[in-house]
Amino acid sequence: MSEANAPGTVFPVPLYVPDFGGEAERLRPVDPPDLHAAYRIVLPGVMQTGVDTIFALSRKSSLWPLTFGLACCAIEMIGSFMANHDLDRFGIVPFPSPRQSDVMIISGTVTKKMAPAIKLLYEQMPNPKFVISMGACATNGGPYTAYDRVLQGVDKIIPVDVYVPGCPPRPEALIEGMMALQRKIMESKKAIG
Amino acid sequence: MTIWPEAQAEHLDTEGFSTVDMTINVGPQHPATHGVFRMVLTVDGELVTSCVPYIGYLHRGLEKLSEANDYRQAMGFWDRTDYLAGLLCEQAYCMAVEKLANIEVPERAEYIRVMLAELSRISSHFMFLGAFGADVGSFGTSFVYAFRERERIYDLFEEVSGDRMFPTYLRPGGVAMDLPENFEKRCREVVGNIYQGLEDLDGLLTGNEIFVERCRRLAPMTTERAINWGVTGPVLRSTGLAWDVRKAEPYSIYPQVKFDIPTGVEGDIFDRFFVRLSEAYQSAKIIEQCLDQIPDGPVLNPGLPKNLRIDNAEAYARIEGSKGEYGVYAMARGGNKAYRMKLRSPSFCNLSALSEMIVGHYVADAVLILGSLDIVLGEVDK
Amino acid sequence: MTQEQAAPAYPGTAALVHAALPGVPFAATETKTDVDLRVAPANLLALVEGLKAHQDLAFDYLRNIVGLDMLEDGLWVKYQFYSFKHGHALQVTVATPPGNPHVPTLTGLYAGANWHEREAAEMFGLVFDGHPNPRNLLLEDDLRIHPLLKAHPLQPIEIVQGIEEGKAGFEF
Repeated sequence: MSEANAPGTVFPVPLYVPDFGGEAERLRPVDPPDLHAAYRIVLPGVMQTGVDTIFALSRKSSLWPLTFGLACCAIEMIGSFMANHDLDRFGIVPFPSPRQSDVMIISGTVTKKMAPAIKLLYEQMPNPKFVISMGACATNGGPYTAYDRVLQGVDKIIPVDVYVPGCPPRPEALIEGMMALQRKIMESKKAIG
Repeated sequence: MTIWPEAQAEHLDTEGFSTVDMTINVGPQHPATHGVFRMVLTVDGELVTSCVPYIGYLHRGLEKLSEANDYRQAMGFWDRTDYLAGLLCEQAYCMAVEKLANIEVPERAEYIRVMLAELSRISSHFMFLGAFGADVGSFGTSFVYAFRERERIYDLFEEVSGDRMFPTYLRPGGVAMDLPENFEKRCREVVGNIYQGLEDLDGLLTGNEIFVERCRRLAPMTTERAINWGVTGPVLRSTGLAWDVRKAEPYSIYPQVKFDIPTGVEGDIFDRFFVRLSEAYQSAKIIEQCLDQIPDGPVLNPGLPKNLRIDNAEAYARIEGSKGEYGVYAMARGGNKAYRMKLRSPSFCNLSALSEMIVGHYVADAVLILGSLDIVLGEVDK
Repeated sequence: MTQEQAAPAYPGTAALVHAALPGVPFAATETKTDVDLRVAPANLLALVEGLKAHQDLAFDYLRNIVGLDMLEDGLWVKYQFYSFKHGHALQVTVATPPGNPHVPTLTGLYAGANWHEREAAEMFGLVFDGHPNPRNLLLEDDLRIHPLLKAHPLQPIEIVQGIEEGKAGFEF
């Protein structure tokens, strides 16, 4: 071991400022705003954070959707659970019963005959629960919005967190919707009980 | 042995326990019903004594909206009826409009239509094989195998038209635009994958002892009852009658390709599964023959007006859909919108025979029988 | 009479039907795909029983039942038949007078007619006399509207964001 690597050696780091030329004014670093860190490293290997962050992290990493496929969007939803666009790697596993699921993905047209069943299923899910409205039909009735037996959007009966547009949305779009829901959970962690 | 005091209550009679039939609601949300379908089973223990199906949870107004939109716009509703095989529905709709207006379709367009329709049929049968395997018990395995191949077919559709499930690629009078240059190479690749996928699913299910034990000799149907109920498609062919709209009332270029009609023997659930597996294989052969025979030429009838107006006419165009005879009845009375369009849906007619088929079987078999009919609720509820 | 002019009075399959069932009056036309027989509601059962039973006709498969709202001409019902034995197809039209939409049911002859007739009844207000289970099929059980009638309107599409002022679309 050479003396340059003896423990306790401090290496001087030269301050290097590249020459920005005309961009200098625009690229000058500014002071960051006063932020709260999500977590703090107290000791090597020990994090300190608030309990709501932990809850939000665990909720978003293990969202279990209710297998609730109504129409054509259900096929794309099933396709995104399958091997090609795997949703299992995000912790998202479909579950048949509403009593143990977190998310309800309304995929397909909601008719007025089906609406009471959807409301009942939503009320059977325990808190915290989220709703993703997948496809154009669940957002506002979609292509079938003019027919009078079609409910013009599922947000008329249940509160919706994320809207995924498309007819049907690609599996990648549904994954983006799930990511948006995860961001929403992380950002609004104080709001969810 | 302790005798509990409740066991000596008055409602026990001397012959044994008297029981009451229980009513079970297999509700609109259920992992085993393929879509929003509800049936109310009255069971005596595990034996089903009556079954009342309730449909209409996806009734979206296909026929009313087809009267309110013109001939090009209405196609968007029709390919969402059988949402597993969108291009078959588009083919039927375009045939109906062409018959109404006496429009000729160029031969290259017919070949393209048939190739894409057979790919859709294969994709629908793969979905059945996956879902039926899941019903029988291999909960995720068969689904994953099936969807692997369906994704490859969807990729091919995306290369051709831009959309995976509902390309809206066909037009009355032909096809919207020509195929991409590397279509033949890609299509042969996909057909090779389909053969491989069918072999995999065959190996997973057909020889599987659990599968055969559960499905053999379950709910056999005779040809006479099937015809009386209006059942068509693989369910009718499994009873032994080799009837296929592509051979009986030929349309498009089907007379120029060679394929067999697989039939079953007893009409039970295993035969229906095997007929669909064999049909997917036959469709792959049709696609290969089309790739060999496809001519050059225009893909859309050049003399078509942009806004199609049709005077008094009526027509009933029927094709062999993936579930049975898919028919479009169209009536025009002037103007650019249809006066009445009705969907003759194969799943609707197959499902009407359900109550007769389920009564007398166990609850677990009820799920299998429903799965073997291979219904798609977009068609049933129109 | 006016029937024996340039076009044959009974084209195609209609000639077979006329030969086999001379007692049932009907008028025959041709649609773009099949032959259509026009028959009065009172003669429908006699015609259909003959179609099913006679061995030259043998129409054992009822394909489709279509209800039609023809405004002043009343409500029409179209039946489509096919014969597996002979391979021919046929369409039968029944025009009910406005105000009296009663048609006899075919569920005794064809089990498949059950659901088709329920759907036509709820969509148009047709009444199939003798139907074993005349309840709503696609609509809710207690609903008494008939959506496919021309007089029944579509529902208005609500516009949530103000796209009616200004041009539609985003500015990137």
